Amino acid sequence: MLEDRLLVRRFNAGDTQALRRIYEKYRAGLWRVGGALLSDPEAVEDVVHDAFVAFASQAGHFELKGSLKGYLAICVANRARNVSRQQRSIDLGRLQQPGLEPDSSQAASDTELCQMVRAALAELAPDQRQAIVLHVLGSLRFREIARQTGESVNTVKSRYRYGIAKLRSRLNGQVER
Amino acid sequence: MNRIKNLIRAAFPAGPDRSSWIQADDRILGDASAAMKQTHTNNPRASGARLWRTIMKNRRTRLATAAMIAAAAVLSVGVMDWLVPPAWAIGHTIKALNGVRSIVIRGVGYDDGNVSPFTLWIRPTRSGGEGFDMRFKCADQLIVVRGRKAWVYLADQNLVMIYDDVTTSYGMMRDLQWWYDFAHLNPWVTGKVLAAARHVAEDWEEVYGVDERTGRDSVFVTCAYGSESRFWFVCDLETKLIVEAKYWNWSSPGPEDPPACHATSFTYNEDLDDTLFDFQIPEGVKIIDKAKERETEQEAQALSDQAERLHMEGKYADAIAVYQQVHDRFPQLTDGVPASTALAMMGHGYLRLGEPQKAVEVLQKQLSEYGYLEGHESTYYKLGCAYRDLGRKDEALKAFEECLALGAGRHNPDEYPLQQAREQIRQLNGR
Repeated sequence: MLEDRLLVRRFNAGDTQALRRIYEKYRAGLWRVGGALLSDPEAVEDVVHDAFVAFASQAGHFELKGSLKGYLAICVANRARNVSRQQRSIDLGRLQQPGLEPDSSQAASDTELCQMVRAALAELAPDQRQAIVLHVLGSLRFREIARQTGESVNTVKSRYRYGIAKLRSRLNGQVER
Repeated sequence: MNRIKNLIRAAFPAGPDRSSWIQADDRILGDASAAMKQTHTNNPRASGARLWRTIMKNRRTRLATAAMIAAAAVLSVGVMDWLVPPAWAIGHTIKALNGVRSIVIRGVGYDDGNVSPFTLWIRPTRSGGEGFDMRFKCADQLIVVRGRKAWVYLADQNLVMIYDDVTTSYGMMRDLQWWYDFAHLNPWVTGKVLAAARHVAEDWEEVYGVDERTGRDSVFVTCAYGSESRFWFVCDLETKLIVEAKYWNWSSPGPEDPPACHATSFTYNEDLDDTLFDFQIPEGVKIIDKAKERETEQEAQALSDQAERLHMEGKYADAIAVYQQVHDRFPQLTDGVPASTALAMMGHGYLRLGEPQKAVEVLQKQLSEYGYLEGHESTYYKLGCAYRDLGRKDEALKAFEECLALGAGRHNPDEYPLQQAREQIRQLNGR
């Protein structure tokens, strides 16, 4: 947390190395969040790109409230949601890890269960999917998600629990309780 | 709940592959840097003004205090949008420190009732490069820093640790890393450290008075950085320089606790001999080269990742074999965390394979070899499951109870493993 505040200070002072460090520190998590909300790897890259460029445009007057990780993850999630709305539906047949072209080695290591999880997650309501993705893949606490999205903590928790329950149901006994 | 979380994580690995990443990085960082520069071109003073406004954030408190000393008549409008400085503003000290060529700090450190005098010499690098030259001597510990390279000599352990780059190291070098972050290495620590420290500080308070030790007008500043570290320091109002400082950390959180460190004397601009910043490795010492250790950590991480993938794919026997390698090859790496985790995962794998006796053996081994680590509640939960599967009810109950005791206050009671442990106890007791 303290490191992030220092990085933000340097970022606000125009230090591009701080910008790079912030990106490298949270890059994996952002791609993961975007990848779980969008089916198209190129769209994921665009969403991470747009979120990060928008963040960079605030240099000099960016105020860190809450965690930087949470802020960036929510930015990516919100943009992914907008893209998803535009696409209207997610092409389940294209569900794959973002940035990876399908190839035989990948297909071999990609278990059927993982594909089922991706498909089941894609079928959830956007609010529920976002709560699960931010909590499980973005490692954000419910309180942080609530703070960044302006929802109540209980609302976020409910969405998460309903989403998990639906996932279990759709995975049809593949997952133990 | 934990199982489905793990499935979700396995379904969405962290990011694209390396080659895709590099291409994406170039585009994203290139555009982001351009956007950042554009913002600064449009508003070049924004960051400086912002920093200063933040520094002066507690204006009312500060001015009220200052007014008692300097009288309200001195107030007028300053160059930016804060009122004229009172008897002292941190900017004065920042400016004064920026003209300093060297600092020698002497004081005492308190650790578990032991009092250790220390001396720290610090100056910018002679070459004008990044970082600083530093020598810190305290009891059996000596730290020498030259630019980015550092040597730590622990005489009582007959050990020398070599850090090739303190800005990317952890552990003992963590505090130094903060200095680098604070100072941003240009040209060295001095006033920039204080500017950054002020910028991120919480509960900043200034009180004006006479320093009993010197009889001189001074300002006494307290500030905090989260709940785990607090500072108190004294600035001489005439020289604007810090003359005394105390630091409390997590080990001394109470207001009445002695500080972890009390710097009682600051000497500025002393000529420091170059030999102060030389380090000769004593003969016969054990040497840990952190650069090589980092390579080993990466190797252990890769092996652990491979085992985790196999485990998540349900290939438990294969995963166990790889986890065994992690344990055998890196038993004490980073305090044994990877090896301990490997044993825990082996226990989980054996449970999945329906071999509870083997699960008991590896989990007991984990507790025996790495009991000093935290987070063993899930180990006790798995151990309880293994005993349950073996029909050893009393030992199972004991393990589940231990899980609950260790996890209390550390985990949400409605989540893994506490919720499951309570349920197991209920079932074993036939309720």
